[in-house]
Amino acid sequence: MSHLSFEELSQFIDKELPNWRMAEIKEHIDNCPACKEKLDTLLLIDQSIRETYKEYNTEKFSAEVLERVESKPVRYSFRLKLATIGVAISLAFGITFGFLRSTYRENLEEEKYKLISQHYIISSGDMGIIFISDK
Amino acid sequence: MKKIIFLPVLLILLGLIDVGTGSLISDYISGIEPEFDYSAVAKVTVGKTSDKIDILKIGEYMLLTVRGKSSSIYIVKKGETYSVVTDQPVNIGGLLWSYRFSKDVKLISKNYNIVFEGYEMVNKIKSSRMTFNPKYNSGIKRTVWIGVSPKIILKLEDRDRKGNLLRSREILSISLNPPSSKKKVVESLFKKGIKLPAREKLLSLHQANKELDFELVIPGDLPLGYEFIGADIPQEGVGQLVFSDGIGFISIYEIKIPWWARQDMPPEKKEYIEWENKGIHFIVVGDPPTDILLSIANSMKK
Repeated sequence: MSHLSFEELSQFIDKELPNWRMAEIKEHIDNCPACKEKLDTLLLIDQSIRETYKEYNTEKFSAEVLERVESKPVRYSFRLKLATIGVAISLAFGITFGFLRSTYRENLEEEKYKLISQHYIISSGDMGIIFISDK
Repeated sequence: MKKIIFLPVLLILLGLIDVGTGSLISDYISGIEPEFDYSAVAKVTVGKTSDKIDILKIGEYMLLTVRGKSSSIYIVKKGETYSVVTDQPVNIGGLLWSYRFSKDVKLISKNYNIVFEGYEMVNKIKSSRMTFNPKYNSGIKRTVWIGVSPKIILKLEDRDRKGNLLRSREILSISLNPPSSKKKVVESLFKKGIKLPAREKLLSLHQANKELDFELVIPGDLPLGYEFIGADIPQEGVGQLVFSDGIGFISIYEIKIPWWARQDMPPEKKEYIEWENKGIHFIVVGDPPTDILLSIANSMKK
């Protein structure tokens, strides 16, 4: 009998083969150290998968997932609302602040020129003539 | 023996020179602002500094409020003329020439050598020409033509040390006590009529600081010959320090900026120097070259 394939060994572990084939494989493994080693490796992999799977009790896991799926939208929605309000306030504040700031700086620029021209007019009489009105 | 004779002669000559300088300065000061009020018609051209500001509309009024008093400034383009026609006796010198020309004899003679250069005709009026030569690099060279009668400055030229024209101004025609029909010109040109420029006294630094809600920063370095002559508050929240060497002027404006509009910036060299530091926007503007203005700015940054 030739060496067993991984597929056959896997079917052997999962008891998916007919009884006569199961007996044959068992006999072969007992006499073939190479196939025995393959089987041990597969059993190790199988065991670790089963242990990992055990940690996740499917029912519990499903319940947990469901709970998260059901509860998260509520939390997410609240946070989203908060975030939206925050963004809106920041945006409104930013726009207002930016607008006020740029308006102020524009006015400052104009005032600056007025002051400079005032200097030239007052100190050198240049650029024009100054009058003080009664108002 | 010769030395003994020479000494009194020298002293007399020095005395004459001194009397001459004093007399020239007094002619200049009375030429800025004659002691007598006149009714007059005058045409004046203005000079180079008009080019420096392009945001203001030429030929329009700019309204300013100086310590509660509203003032109108009529902006004239370089080389253009404007007419001043007074309907009642006013001090036309004060009206036609500067609002703040220095009359500080000591300051002028400390920083300038004054030379009488002879008589010339300016717009058909016999005038004496005199030049103010600066003793320091920061000074400007001023030449004035003062009418013999009426004794009023008819023409003025300011040049920098290299001879470049800084400003020129000239009264093209002047007639004293004009006929009353000329009054209409005033109304059409100036709408509200002419008021004599009020020569507000400058404030002391202490007074200015008291009126402002921040303390004005004083420069640590000033150009040679320049002295602090006073402070002003041209607008609410704006302080102004004024410096002069008798002929030239420097203004330092300090504007308090609200916290939300602050924007620190290092000194920038334009026709003037401006920068912003710790919520105060500074502008240094004046007659000395911009390199000298920049050194003033740098002395204020600390």
